Amino acid sequence: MRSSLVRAFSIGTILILALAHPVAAFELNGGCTLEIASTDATGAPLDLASGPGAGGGGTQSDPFLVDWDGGVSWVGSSGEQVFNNHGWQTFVFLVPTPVRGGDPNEDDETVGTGTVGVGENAPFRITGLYYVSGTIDGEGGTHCDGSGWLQLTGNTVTTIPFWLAVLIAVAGAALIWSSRPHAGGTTVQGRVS
Amino acid sequence: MIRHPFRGLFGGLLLGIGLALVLMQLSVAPLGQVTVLTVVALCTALGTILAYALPARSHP
Repeated sequence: MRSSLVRAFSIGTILILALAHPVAAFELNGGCTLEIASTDATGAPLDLASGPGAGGGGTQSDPFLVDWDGGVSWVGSSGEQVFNNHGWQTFVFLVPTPVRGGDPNEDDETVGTGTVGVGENAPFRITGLYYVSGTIDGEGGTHCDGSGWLQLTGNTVTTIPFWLAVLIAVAGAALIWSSRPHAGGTTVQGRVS
Repeated sequence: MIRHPFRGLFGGLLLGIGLALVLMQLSVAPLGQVTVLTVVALCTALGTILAYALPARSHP
């Protein structure tokens, strides 16, 4: 039985892979392409983005919109490259994530497609604006990398992760305050009767 | 005078991580893709500096 943490990560993994694997999103280098579409909770189209190329969406000023209760589908191509024995890594705001892996790709596939429900297996609703990037490297020097911005829509202040973040910040501030210097020196030992 | 620079550093790191997570979730990224790393670095440095610069605790 998979733990809830694994399930939470699986949905995050798939979502990020949709944006970053096998080709990253929107700002793409290396000859890879990606088309991505999202739907809202009712299944109605929400947003489209594609790359590389200007006007494809997925930028900070025009992020790719994702509904937590909706879905995301994608079509990615590695162009003329075949990524055999590849490894890939994803980043959020340039910070490496545990979402990485690799595959021998013995069938020499160059096109990947898929659809996933965004929040269907996650324990917490997450909202916000995220810069996601990724790289993939295969045999023979095959390489693609790219990046894009996605926005998970919703009311942030009603989500648990937001208040956890506030709690972490407050704890940090309290720790800084408690780090104030104090007078050292003699220690008085004794009993109070 | 006893100081706690590592406590200040760790507090600054926590403050930076928490603040960065809050900014992300509020869709605020004034520094673009380097927003998170910059906020964490600045807060960590701030925590360390404040561990030296804050006024000493007063004892009754």
